[in-house]
Amino acid sequence: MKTLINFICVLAVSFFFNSCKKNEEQVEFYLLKKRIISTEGIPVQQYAKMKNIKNFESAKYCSFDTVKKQLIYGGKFVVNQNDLQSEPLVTNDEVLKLDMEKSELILSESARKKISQINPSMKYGVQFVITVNKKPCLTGYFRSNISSYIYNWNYIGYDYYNNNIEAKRDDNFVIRQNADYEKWKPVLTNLKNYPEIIVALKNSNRLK
Amino acid sequence: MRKLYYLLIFIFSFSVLSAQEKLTKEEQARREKNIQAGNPFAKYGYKAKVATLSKGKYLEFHDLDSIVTIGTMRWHVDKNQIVGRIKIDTLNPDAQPIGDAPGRWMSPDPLSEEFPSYSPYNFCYNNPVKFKDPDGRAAITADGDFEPTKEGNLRVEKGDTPEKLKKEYGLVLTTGKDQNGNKFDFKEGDVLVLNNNMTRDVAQYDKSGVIEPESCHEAAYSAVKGLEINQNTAEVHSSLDGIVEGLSSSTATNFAKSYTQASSSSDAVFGKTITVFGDGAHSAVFYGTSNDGTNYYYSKNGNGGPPTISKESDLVNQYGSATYFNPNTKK
Repeated sequence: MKTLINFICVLAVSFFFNSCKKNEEQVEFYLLKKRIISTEGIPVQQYAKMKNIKNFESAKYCSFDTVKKQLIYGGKFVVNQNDLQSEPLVTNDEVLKLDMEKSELILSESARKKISQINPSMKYGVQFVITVNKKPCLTGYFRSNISSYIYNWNYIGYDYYNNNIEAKRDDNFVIRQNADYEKWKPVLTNLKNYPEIIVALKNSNRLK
Repeated sequence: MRKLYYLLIFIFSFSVLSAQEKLTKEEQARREKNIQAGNPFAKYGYKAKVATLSKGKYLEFHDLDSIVTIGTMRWHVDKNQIVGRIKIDTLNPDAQPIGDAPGRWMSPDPLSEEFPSYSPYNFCYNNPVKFKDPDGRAAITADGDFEPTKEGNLRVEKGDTPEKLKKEYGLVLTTGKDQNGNKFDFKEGDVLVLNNNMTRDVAQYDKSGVIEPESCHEAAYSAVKGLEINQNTAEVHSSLDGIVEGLSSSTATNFAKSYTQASSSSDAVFGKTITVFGDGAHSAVFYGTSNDGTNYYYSKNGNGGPPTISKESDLVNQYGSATYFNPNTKK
């Protein structure tokens, strides 16, 4: 009987300590299973059908602003969990810090390498999502630094490396937006609009 | 011991003699005919000694007869008619390749990845007038071109002449002095300093470090109009390959109407041809071809990038294959 009481005590103490250990929130980067069309403007495919425009292949993933008569290459888009790839591109361990002032993510060397090897799409960019515990919080684009297309939604500029090209321009993963999609005038994204990410990184002492 | 030497000499002589190729009488006659095809004195009945590489195994002399072989046809050039057909004996290992068979490509060009715009079976970019290929590796310009430097100036290469400068770049320079009054006499390696809107753009970035925010397309359109890039000249926002009537601005659509796709870079004109890379991912302006066949471009690589003089192969690697567009006005 005494042994049983001792055993229960040990069990209780271990439960107590385990319950004190706080689960760290997982901040991860995911790529998407397929291209998501922007919610801004009207999808080009739809507009082309309405106006009987043929040969719009070169703008098929764009949206169209019917007021300004402009194509939107990198507009705001919304995703849900089903759109994410099964494995994250950047894991929680690889997100080291977030510099709020510069809107800059400081990532581990392995994460930087993975991002620099994403095959760039000069026109449309590569869509990504930052999740907190797999819940999509911030959507955006990986945009090649040598692209000439303007994204008015969140984007991270990166240099693509392969065996042939080693054009290094930017080592930082800064989240920016462009004021509009007509003139190139990038500004820093205000990350205060994404409180889940801030809280998650603050709780794990990763906010600079 | 002496007997052993005799035996060795006998074995050696026997093996040397037996190693000789044994030819049938017919084959010997055929080879002799092949050799004598190169005898220029045959019509005088003199059998001259003719130098051959294959000892008559292959026909090494061109047929100048009135009857020529085209494919498997025997064609009479005077009568303009077929006078016979050749049957290919696939079982005869000594049978000669006939007609156009020797001209067929036996394998794709091993350097074809360096020239993604061309078929891997082309010769001299399908333009043997402009290019030559002396070592079989890659085509080079037949009569020399200037090599653009990274500043956009022109380095003189072998064969470069004032006529060439006028033809390729529209520059008249025969006095022995360049536009800046410096001595310049077309010596190989000399650099001709240019002063045009593109060189000024490149130099402006080098000096100030300030990058104009225009896209590659806007920079290219400014350049072909003879303008330097700045906010006022940035009118066209779309690549020539990506302009869709009804979706693109009227300025861009009108601009596209004044351009026509060219078949290859050999039709490209300095400062006039806009080349589109990838699926409209990038636009750049043709800036000449050096002696080794490398095409150069005035290219602003991205909104955040400086204007540069870049090689076509680098742009193809970064953005994708090249398509050339010439202005509708004649060269």
